[in-house]
Amino acid sequence: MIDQYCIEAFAGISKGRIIRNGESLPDLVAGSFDELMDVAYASLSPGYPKFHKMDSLSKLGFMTSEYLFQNTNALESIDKTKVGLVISNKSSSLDTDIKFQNMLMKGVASPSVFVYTLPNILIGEICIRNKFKGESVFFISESYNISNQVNYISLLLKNGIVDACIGGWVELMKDSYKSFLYLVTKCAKGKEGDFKEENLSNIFNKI
Amino acid sequence: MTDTVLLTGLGIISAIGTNVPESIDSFRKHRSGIGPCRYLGTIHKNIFPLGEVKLSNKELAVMHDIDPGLSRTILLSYHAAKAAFDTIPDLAGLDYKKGFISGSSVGGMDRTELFFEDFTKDKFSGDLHDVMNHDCGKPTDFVAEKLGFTDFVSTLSTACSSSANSIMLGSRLIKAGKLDIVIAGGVDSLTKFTLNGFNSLMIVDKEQCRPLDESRVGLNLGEGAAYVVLMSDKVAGDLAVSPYCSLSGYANSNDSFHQTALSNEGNGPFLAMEAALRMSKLTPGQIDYINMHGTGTQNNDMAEGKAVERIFHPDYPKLSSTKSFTGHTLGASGAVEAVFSAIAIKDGVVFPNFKYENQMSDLNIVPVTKFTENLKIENVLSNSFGFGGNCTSLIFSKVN
Amino acid sequence: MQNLKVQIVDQLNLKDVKPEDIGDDQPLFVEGLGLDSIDALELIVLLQQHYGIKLAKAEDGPEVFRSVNSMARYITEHKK
Repeated sequence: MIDQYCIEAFAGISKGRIIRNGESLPDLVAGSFDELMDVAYASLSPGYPKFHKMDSLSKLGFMTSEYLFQNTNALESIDKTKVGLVISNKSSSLDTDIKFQNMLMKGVASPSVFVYTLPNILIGEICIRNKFKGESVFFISESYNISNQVNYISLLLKNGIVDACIGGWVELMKDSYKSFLYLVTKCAKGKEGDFKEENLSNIFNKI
Repeated sequence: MTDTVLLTGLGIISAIGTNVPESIDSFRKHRSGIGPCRYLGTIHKNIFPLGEVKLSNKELAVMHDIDPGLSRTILLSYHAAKAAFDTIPDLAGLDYKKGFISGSSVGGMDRTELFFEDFTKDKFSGDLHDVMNHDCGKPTDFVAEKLGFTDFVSTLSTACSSSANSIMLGSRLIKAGKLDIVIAGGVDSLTKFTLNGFNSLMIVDKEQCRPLDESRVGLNLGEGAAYVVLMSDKVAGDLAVSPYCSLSGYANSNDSFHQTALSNEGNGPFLAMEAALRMSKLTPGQIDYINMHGTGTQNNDMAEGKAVERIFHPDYPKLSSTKSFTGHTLGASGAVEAVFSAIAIKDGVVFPNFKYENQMSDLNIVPVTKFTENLKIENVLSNSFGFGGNCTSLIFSKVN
Repeated sequence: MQNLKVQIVDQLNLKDVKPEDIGDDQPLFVEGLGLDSIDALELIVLLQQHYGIKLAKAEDGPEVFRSVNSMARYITEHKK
């Protein structure tokens, strides 16, 4: 019997609202990105003050992951060294890079801003929060290549390199942002695998 | 589908040489490439020694007949990738699936930061050509296009483990039968942005760095590019190319401790090395040389050293950090050190630390201090650990 | 001192902390405000930006930044 892989949960943030497993969370709607993050943090109350020090890209990825894990217990029985992350975006950490460069030109090299001038730091933040120690990678591409991501994650799962994987797209550049994270694991017995490009594409397009 | 992935070609450019023979010669003659800043126009010019490639953009462009106004990242990447490409026999008429995978943290930032300064003073000044190639993916696309390796093109950005991860991905795609020949590696060029950024973290040495030394205070930044040609044993056989070595094991793990520092016990490094060993089916005792990530920072060398001791104690293989010669080439470092690892196996050599005097007080490991030849080097472990806790270990093995 | 506390909260993005809630002798690191190594580096930037003081040796950090009091003392001694 070939193993089947299932999308256990997903979450997304864009256009001033937060979506979890297909439903838009009605009370979590705001104007600006910063306001949305404040509303989300107040609502979730994760008790994680380090959140406020993150750059916008990491806040976006982190908050999306918090909603992703909120109503699923799919990770409970999984060894944290076997949880992986495969994420992409288009702009890398450019939003923060510009912030750092602007400060630099005023003569200030801010270490707390510099720390976020790499896109994979957002993966680091999610791992630190959840103690995930599995494989992680960050790809940069002009647009979200779901097919490549599905192939990559399937390979990791099939070869037992990970037992669960968080995949997705976390993109932010000035006022434009969109995130989509999903959790995929081996399907429960008897369940048909739905970890397919078409399904992810449908969800992504609705966010 | 194949189980064996071979390294059949190498291309490299760094502070210690513009090709493989020059680089090895620098080790042999104990000549570090780290020195006073010559090309980067930074206010820190006379403060921090750098591992600069000893060619200007113009010189690089003339060598390859490409636009000198292009980002230095593109120029370096093309130089090294072309060298790797040139080792492949003529593929005309052959229907191989070819991929190009490159890792970088800087992208075309070297040009953008020049543009930005003018632009912020006057929105009509600054040359827009400078920003066209800013994106991380632009150097990858340019080089892939020029080499005709376009069946699969991908850019990774995971800080200092980027190009090691490129090599891992290349191998996986070959094993899965998705690609036949992959040129994988990475590039980063020096920018004021990075130098100021690392300086703000107070982990840069004002002198020649001393990785693994008790007195170490930080790293020296470097730049460069390196690519390896990967193919299955079957394709290598069909093309009649003889390999440097195989890529027998690899793994990536997340240290999940801090954005820019490793956990004290080196958990991420430990997990990555352990998993790579498991994959290669080797015991620690079978590793003949470790090319350490060894940046020269207090934190990295302690964490990595501890992780090495957890696995290899009490019999340590020869080990060193070649960053003491090249500087820390950031996104390129994984591939730069993969090239050195391949040569270590092919030529039976190990590389030294450039400057080392004091054993780390909490550790037992002591690096090699002289370039050593005529050794039997069968398995090499190479570490690359990036910010964000991204830890990768690669294992290269002799092919009979 | 109050001014310094405002600057600290501002520089370190301590959103949930009110300047007046920081005790003069309260340990800033580990327990207390729970600041980390990057915060320490930002405090070095704070000294440079607001007081023109350059802390050249990172090792001096723990002593200088132990509390608001120790920071204020250092600033008074080294202010340009």
